[in-house]
Amino acid sequence: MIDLATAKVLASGEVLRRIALKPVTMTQLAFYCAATRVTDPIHYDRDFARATGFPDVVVNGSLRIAWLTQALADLVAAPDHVAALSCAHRGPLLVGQAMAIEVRATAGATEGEAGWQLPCEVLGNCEGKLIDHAEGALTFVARAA
Amino acid sequence: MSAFQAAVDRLQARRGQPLRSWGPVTLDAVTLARFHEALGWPNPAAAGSVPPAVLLQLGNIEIDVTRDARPHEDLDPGLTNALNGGTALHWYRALLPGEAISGRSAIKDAFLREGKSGTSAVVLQETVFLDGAGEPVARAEKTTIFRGAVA
Repeated sequence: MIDLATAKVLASGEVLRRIALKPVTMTQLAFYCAATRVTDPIHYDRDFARATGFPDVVVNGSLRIAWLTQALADLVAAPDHVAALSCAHRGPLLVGQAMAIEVRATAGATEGEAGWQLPCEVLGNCEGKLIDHAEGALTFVARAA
Repeated sequence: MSAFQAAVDRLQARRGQPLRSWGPVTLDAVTLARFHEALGWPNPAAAGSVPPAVLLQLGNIEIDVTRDARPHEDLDPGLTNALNGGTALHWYRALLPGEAISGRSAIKDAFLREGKSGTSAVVLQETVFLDGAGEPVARAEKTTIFRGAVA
């Protein structure tokens, strides 16, 4: 976990966390689609996914975003919190594949209107290729002395 | 007028109008357990917390429906071949276990884009998440790119 004192002195590019996820299973995608009420068959129907040109079922983009967000969230405890995450997907992730996530600081924490914020970069890789690139931020809430 | 332009015009006319409203939904133990299960996150310490991305479960931000599955939920009947153009999430504070969240989404903007592979329509949807006092706790902006259009 990072506290504000640490966040202030982080250098650009400093790696804050690396985490390797397990390969995605069809069951996990079924749970995720049920929880988020997603009905697009590309996320749970192999025949449909193949008919649209993918070799297999496609992992939901929002699940990938949820992972990237959680990688950030694990670095702080409430009331400190994830302030933002903006993600562009650069490639598909398919069922059976696994994502590896790396969180890097892009600068030390600075104080602004929203309080102290630490800008971060969150990268999702699969089989050596960058498939998700996100810019995020953590907010550190001032505590009473 | 092209089918793309007609669809963009229809969507721009709907800017700001509610697409859907929902809630309040309580961040109770079952809701959080269901999301943790769906997330499959390997860090057990996170299990007692409210994952910030639970908003994705509450708000059904991922409107990636295909015409075959839920045609009545299409953003516009004239747009096809959707591509996920990215998502931006902002949180104003940490979410708390047990609190109730509601939300509303609307079309923020729609425009045409010319690229190497031709014309596409870009649609931005914004969802605002509110706490029990009606104060915003988060917002999400989703970009969908439609590469096909039918008259």
